[in-house]
Amino acid sequence: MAQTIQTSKKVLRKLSIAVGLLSFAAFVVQGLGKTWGFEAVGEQITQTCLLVSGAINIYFAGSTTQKEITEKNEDK
Amino acid sequence: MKSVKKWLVNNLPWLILLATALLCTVFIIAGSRANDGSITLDGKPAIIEDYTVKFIEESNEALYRVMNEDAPTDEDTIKEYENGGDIVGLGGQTINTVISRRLPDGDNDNGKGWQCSKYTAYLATGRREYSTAHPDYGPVNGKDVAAWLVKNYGWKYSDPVEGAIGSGGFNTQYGHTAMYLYSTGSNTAMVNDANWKPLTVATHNMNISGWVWVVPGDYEPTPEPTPTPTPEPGPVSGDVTYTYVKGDYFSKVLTKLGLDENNLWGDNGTVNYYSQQLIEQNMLDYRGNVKIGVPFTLKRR
Repeated sequence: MAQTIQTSKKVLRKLSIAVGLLSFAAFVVQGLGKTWGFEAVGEQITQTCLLVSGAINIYFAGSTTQKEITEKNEDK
Repeated sequence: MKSVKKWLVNNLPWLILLATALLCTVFIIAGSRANDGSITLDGKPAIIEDYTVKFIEESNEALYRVMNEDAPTDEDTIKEYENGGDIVGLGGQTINTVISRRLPDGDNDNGKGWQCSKYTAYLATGRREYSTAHPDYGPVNGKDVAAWLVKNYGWKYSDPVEGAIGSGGFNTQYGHTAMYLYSTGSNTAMVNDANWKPLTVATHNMNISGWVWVVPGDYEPTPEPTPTPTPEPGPVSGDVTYTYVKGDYFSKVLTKLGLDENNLWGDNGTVNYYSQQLIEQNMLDYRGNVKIGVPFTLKRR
């Protein structure tokens, strides 16, 4: 069986929290930007946060696929 | 080493957040300000992707729902307009009239402000003032506007069409109301409303799940265009007019005009037959070629 890199539950949980925090930051920054006159920069920061959170989500998709493969192999 | 790893894992979310903040700070320090206020490395305005715009709109929507931003219409105004009130200029309302009243985004009614219900009531009736004490208020709360138009002005419930006035947010205290523009998804639509940005007119994408829509009573949906029946191919008759251009060959022209009867050549062939007509119309030059740029008519055999 091919060896797969296992990600501990703790790391996955922390990454999940990171996605939440990034989305929260994006939400707050774009709101503050409109209120305090840095709307354009706020949108840029929002987009950056979403990009990073998207990147983590891509990692999650890989992790999920890896998990499925492992489970499938275990079933055999 | 193990303790460092443990610390990194424990603080992973904050480290990611910090790294993102650091990244933004570096770009802000190193960048220069563009015309639109964004800060970019090449000095050109930043391009904001659709997903960010959607995120911002959805965030606004979420905040809007949480904060219940639409102000209530005061009891006196609701009472006054419960049965329609004295609406000047109502009559002969068509959906086109409603659409034509649409105001540009950012309009705040000369500083008086637009609550959502005041704006859609204006779109529907043409009247801008409903409360002296609160010039931004509409006749009823946002979620009641559709029913108010049906009850008092003969409007009727309908599927959403451009210009339809809708009410939603029935699970919130005051709800919201907007004019429908066009669909953007199964439960989303582009709408024109007010108070999305505080007390001003805005056009934006919105979740319209659970909304009801009303249109003027005499509105009839445009019937589906009836496809024009394609005429059955039959015997073709009549004259054909054509003007020779450089590069044309008579046989090809005859085929193009549909005059070829699968018998181009020979004494009784199509070319010979129609050449006679060209000669009769003096369409051949001294070398026997068809004159270019002069229209001629061929009578179908």
